[in-house]
Amino acid sequence: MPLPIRGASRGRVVFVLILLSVTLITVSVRGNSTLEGARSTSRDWFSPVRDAFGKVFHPFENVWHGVRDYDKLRQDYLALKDQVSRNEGVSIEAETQVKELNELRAQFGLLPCSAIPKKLAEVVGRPATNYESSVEINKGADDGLVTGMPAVTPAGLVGRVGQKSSTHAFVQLLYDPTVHFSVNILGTANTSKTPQEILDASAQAGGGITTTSTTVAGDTPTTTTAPAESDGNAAPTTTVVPTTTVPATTTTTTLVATELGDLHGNGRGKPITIDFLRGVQNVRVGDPVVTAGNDSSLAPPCIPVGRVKSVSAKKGSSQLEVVVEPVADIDRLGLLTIVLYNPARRPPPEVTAPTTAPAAPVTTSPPTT
Amino acid sequence: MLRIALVLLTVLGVQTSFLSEVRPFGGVVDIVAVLAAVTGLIAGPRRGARAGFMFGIGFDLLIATPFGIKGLAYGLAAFAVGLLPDEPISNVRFLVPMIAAGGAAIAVLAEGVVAAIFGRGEAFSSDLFAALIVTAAVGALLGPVAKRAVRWAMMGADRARF
Repeated sequence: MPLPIRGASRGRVVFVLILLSVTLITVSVRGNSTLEGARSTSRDWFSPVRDAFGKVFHPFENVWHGVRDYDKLRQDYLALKDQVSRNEGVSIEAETQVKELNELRAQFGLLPCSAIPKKLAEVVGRPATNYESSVEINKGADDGLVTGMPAVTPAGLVGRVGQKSSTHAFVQLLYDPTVHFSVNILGTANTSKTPQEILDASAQAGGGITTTSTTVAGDTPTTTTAPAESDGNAAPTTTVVPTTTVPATTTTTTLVATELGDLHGNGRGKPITIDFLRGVQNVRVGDPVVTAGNDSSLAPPCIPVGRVKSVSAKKGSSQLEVVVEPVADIDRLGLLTIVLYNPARRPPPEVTAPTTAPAAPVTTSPPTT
Repeated sequence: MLRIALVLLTVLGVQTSFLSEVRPFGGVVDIVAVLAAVTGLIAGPRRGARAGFMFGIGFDLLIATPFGIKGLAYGLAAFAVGLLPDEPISNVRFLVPMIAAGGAAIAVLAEGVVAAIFGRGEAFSSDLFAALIVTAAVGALLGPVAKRAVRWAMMGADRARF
């Protein structure tokens, strides 16, 4: 039986609608410069309208946040106040270490992190859909932004530049599944393993371990281990004769240089994880995570990302599943800094420096008695 | 056409500024979906589907998700609402808010399904269900206002069913 004309016409409308939409979505997902150009122009054209509406509704937003977020903001304020007081002492030590790091980077011909140009941007648009993982900023291609450049806050990494127009750009946040960063997990504290065990593990894994010791002179001779070579063989040890009557204390700090992996999001509200870890996999909860940087990445190797929140074995794989807690508050972004880093412009490192550098001299303090 | 563009611009302005900041229970209130559903109700399935598609494409132009997802979702929702029979809706006042709520919820759900089909599996999260509820609630509240706005936009074109 033939369909009534009215029904057939409706069916045709739905068919054309689906066909057209699927075509557009497919073209968009595969990437099309014409389509992106149209979107970019539309956003530029629409931004004054959105800004005007934003100004009109700003008081209402404030009322909403005041009613809804007051208790949480108060708790955050008290916690931050406590944290600031605790961090004051630590910051002096950190400044010294940053200075030393920059000196080392200068010796190796690497740009200090602070020397990389940056562009401050304001967040002008939040995710307008439930699964969108981007915020819009008021800087674009005209300001030197390139897709892939990292976006940071003073706390750390929040995402990367995505689609952009001449005056605006989207920043894809860390929980976006399409955002990937090469990261290092830095082991910091003493472990249950002895340095020799870690060195052995490093040798098996192809290096990547550095051990340093700080020795305070005491009644018995103590041993200082110089930085290990990258192939895992320890340098010759130096015996220091005690010169004082102060009780002996030896503090050994083991720095696990790298656990290189791929950081990526899994959607809003879901954990940010690291895959494809290699190395000794000596990862513990609380270990800091920083960007690794490589020749194809627009993220320099010095941006803090967060700390390891949990470590578990992946089902059906020998790999670890590492969940990272970002240090930056990704859900409350006001101002962002875009790091205008281009690895192609990086000065080449000096090749001779690592092998010819002498071991750090061991210095002893003058006798106190 | 100018009036329709004006209504759409206004709704998009509110959507991308105020409603993207305010997320009750974690879900974004989608008033463009409400507009599409009400347009389907007033203009019927064919014109409704076309208008819903255009509203979605207009929204798609301004966001960073794959282009066309909202167009398809809103077009289908407007088409579905347009299939409802005219007679009881024009006589019973409270049906308009209910249909606006249901149609908007269909649009939000359809968007999640289409996004998931095209590789955005994260669209199916607890936020989607929060968005369904809050969009339906706002649709019920704004349905009558949206109906007036759409009728005004289509005035003189003899396109409204009632």
